Amino acid sequence: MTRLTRGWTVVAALWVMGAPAPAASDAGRWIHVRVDEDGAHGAKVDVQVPLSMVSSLMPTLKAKMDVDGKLDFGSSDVSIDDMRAYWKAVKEAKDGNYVTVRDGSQTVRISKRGGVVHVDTTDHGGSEKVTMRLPVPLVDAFLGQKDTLDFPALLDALRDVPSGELIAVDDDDSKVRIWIDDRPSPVREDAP
Amino acid sequence: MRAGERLALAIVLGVAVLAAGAAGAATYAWHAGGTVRVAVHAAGPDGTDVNVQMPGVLLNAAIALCPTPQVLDDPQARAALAAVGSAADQLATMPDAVLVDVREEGSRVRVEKSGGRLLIRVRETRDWVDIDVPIRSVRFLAEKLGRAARVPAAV
Repeated sequence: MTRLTRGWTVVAALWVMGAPAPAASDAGRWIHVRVDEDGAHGAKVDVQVPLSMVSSLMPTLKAKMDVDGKLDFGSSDVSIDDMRAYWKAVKEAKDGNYVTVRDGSQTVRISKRGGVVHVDTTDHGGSEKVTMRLPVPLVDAFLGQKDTLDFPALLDALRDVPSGELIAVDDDDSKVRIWIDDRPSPVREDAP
Repeated sequence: MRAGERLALAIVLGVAVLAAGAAGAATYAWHAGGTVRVAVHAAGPDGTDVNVQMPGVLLNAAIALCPTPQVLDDPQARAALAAVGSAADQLATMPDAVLVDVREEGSRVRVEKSGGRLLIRVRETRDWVDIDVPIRSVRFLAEKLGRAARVPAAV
């Protein structure tokens, strides 16, 4: 994985780990993580847990998270304040495609449609691709107002997110998918 | 029937009722505790085959008799123990599902909740491990660990 892909994967993992606080209403919601490495010998990982269980493990996870107000997005650190400023601009903008950045072989597109922000990043001529679907309330909760990223608030918000794919990462040799659903998935058919 | 005979009959009946009640309670506990199964197969000349199957009630008794872990001065350990207790409660109430399935060249690890049981299966090319534990026992252990986390830390 490239540094960019790794960075987004870390964000995705933190997102998953930061599941909502225990509540009866999230008992039926499941968060799924799937990692597929290419090739005959590539690892295939499926993890699915109820949000309520992840929230139960939050005290442990929070103790292991080193969130000091900065996220490492590969080549540069982005402060939470910067992210809040960017997010405010995005949130207040009308629906449409309004950010396209091309930097060398990397392209970043940000658009907003129907209360969902889409972030699409491609690198190395399209061989590496990150797709994020971020419902506005979810990001609002995540960035919060505190000095650090607000995982408990994120988790509360996650309960109300519609089922579907949240994050997809495709690179040269692996694929990562994170989605939320109302039920556990059966074992994959390709599983021996 | 004389008074002495009536007394003797009452004692015999009382003992029989107590014995039947105790047997019934033991049978219920035995049944409710489920069965714990651990099977290990290691291939090769020095390989081993282990298959342990025992009533869950015995495991529960062993857990109850074990001393409480002494991790009270470590905040992270206390948080982890408390979280384990809470997660075990969630495990008991969630629907059946494969929670973790990891496959990699010749090996597979699978953690599944199925019908009130926690199944852990590890497969290597020639070796394997199966662990099958009633969730009731998992909760029992988690409750004990959770109690350890709630004990005030030593100063």
